[in-house]
Amino acid sequence: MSRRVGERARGEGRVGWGGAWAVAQPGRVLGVIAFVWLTLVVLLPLGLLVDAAWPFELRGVERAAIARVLLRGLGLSAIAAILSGALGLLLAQTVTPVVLLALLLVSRSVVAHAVLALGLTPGSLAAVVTLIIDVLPFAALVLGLRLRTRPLALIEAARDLGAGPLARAREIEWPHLRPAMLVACTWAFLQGLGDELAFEIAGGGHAYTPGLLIRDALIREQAPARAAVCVVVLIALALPCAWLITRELTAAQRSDWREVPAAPAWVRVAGHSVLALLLIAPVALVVGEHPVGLGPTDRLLAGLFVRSLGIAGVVAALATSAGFGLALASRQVPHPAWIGVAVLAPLAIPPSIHGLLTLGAGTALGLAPGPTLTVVAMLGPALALGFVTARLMTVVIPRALIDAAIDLGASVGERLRLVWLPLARPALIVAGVLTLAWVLGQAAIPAFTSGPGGDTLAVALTIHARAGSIALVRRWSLVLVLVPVLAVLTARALARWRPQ
Amino acid sequence: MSAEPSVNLRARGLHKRFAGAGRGSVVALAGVDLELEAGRHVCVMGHSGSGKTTLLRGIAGLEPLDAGELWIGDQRVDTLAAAARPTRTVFQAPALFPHLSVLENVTFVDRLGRTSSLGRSRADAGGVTEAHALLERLGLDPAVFAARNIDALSGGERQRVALARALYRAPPWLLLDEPLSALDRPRRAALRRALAGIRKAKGIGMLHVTHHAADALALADTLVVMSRGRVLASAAPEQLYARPPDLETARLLGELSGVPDPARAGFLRPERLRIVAGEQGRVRARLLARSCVGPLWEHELAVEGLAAPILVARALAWEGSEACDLDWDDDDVLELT
Repeated sequence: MSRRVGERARGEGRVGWGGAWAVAQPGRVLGVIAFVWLTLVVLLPLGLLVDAAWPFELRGVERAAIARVLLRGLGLSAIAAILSGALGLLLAQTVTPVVLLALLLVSRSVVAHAVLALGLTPGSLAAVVTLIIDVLPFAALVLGLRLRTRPLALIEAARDLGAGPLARAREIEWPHLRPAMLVACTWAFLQGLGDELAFEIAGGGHAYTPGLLIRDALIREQAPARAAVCVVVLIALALPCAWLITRELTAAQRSDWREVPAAPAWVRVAGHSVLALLLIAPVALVVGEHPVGLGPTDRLLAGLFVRSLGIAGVVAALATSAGFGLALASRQVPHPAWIGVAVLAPLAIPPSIHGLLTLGAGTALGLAPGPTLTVVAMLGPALALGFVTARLMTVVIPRALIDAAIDLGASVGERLRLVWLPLARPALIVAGVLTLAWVLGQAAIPAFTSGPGGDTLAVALTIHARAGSIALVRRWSLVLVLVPVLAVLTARALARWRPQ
Repeated sequence: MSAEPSVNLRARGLHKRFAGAGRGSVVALAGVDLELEAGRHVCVMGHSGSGKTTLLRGIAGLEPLDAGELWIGDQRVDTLAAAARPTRTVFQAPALFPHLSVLENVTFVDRLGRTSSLGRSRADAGGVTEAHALLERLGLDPAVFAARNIDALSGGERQRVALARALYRAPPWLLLDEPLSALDRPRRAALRRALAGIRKAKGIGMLHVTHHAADALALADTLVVMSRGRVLASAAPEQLYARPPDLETARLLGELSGVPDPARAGFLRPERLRIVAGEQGRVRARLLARSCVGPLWEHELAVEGLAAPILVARALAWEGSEACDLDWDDDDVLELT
């Protein structure tokens, strides 16, 4: 009598030795991939930092300063996270994803300057407002994805049984929304914790936070021990967050894909008010002074734009396909939360620190600064972004459809080509555009990894902004904002197109 | 393609255990043996949790079994991947591909590059004609439905498309998991007839899980009754209905009344009891209620000395006095434990 009949048969059977092992042990294969990834992207850079910091000699005053900074960072980030979640929910029910993607690309430094232009005094409040405006589009996009998969049958059943709006919200709507809310709030929390730009520009140096401490310790004061302690604390905080997010995503219910339901009038009013706040920075981009004609700097920036687009395209393609593959594969393993932790861990490190650490790790591995190192450095956070988006959206592909395809005789490749890809096309498009937008607008990582002469447009714009060429920055920031909007519109047209 | 006439389905010692909460586990299949003749319609009945669906999914390869052997004809299939098994399943929920039209769903197998163990080939000119004929036979006008999107179908229409997809270039065995449950009564009856016709014409064997005794009695050549992961009985449905081997099988297939005689043990089918005028039967009874249940009238009667009411089914409602007698033939009494 055969043992575990059909278990091996669920795979494709007649494949090579390596392939057979991969089919039979998907959990171990994924575990190995996740471990290698974690080692390259987090553990190796962290190890180099710890090595430089050894033997961790910190004076009492340094320890007190680190504790104070960490506590302040935690408090301000928690406030930013909670407000982002709440406001993001209003925004998700009011604003279309195209607008949110465009807003996502307005860089944090532009937002910080716009917030100060509003008349807010530089300080913690202005920095937190900057952070919220900066992370809100992402929070709203993630929450909007989840709102499209509301379990309508359950809601109807609850209403039929006499459950009021509050009971339905508590028992059905909130458990359904919780994974996305957790992703949105955790993203905002980690962004706040590791931020330097918002607290440097809008904070005006009045609120010293972990991100600033790490930067100063590494770049200005050559105090790696101080930086290492802060980075380790940030990672220690981020890993449980990553685990929680993945667990929630795993438990997320399957449902059909629908339009976001029409919001009540008060939600629409509130959502539009939040949108008005978000529009401050782009409006400043449009209505402010613009240069006349094209100068030599424009030609230089155009070249950088093409290079940035290439880098962003490569990162988006790699991160989306790998994130999507991992999201699919992690549905098949017994403990997907650990895969998620490995993939989401890079989000724990502030972007500039991530860039700096990757530069160190790249140099140690013989990888010189340049576009390749920038792609490698961007892949960590971008993969996390792709993974979360794919995970949130692929839960709507029911297992029964895949079983039906298997039953009809479809091989792994055919299932991917004929069922997975067509059904997951919206998820792929959203993940791809989201990642593209994030990579295009990211200046902190390539500032370290791009090397001399290898800058990206975002890095160049930061340099020009510091030099005071605001008009030039406005023009090219607008170009950056338009790219994902055009990408979304093209993707939409592609999604509707069907070969005859 | 017509199925080969000699592809019997044999199962030996199928076992399946699911991990339950904590350290417990649930036995879904506890050594199932089956010997099913090719081209037959075999219905599987049983209470919820008796292992019917697990049996079907195990045969299809969608649920890995813990132990056992499966053969279809001379081919051992439990070692094959689900995609390579010569079976096709119709799931309880239709599981149609939402990005494909009705016709594209039905002819999905033509999009697959390889030929399976059935030796089927890629799409040919006759494919669309066959798909249209199947849709028509299942009550869906191809001119109206073939190009229609899945979202524009009702639940019953989806289930019929799922049936057409399973029947298109059908393998020797079709595994049906309550495929008629979403249909209204007239459609259900029509589809039962269509299924029987297609099975005869194509010579396909069908293993059909159902909760409905009417479906099983109307369709099955062989009826398999399952309980707690085991096969309780397997025989012709009329034989099992008339002479069930045990009380569980008897109750699954229809209503039972106790023998309305306190002095005698046993059971009777309600239609085997007769209501007669007072002093003309074997025991005194009093009519409590009557109700129309389709082609029959169901009567509830109280018998002195018996706590439970007695059910009697007859073609016409009893119009006589409430005080009446009950009569029956001793040959109809079922001695069940």
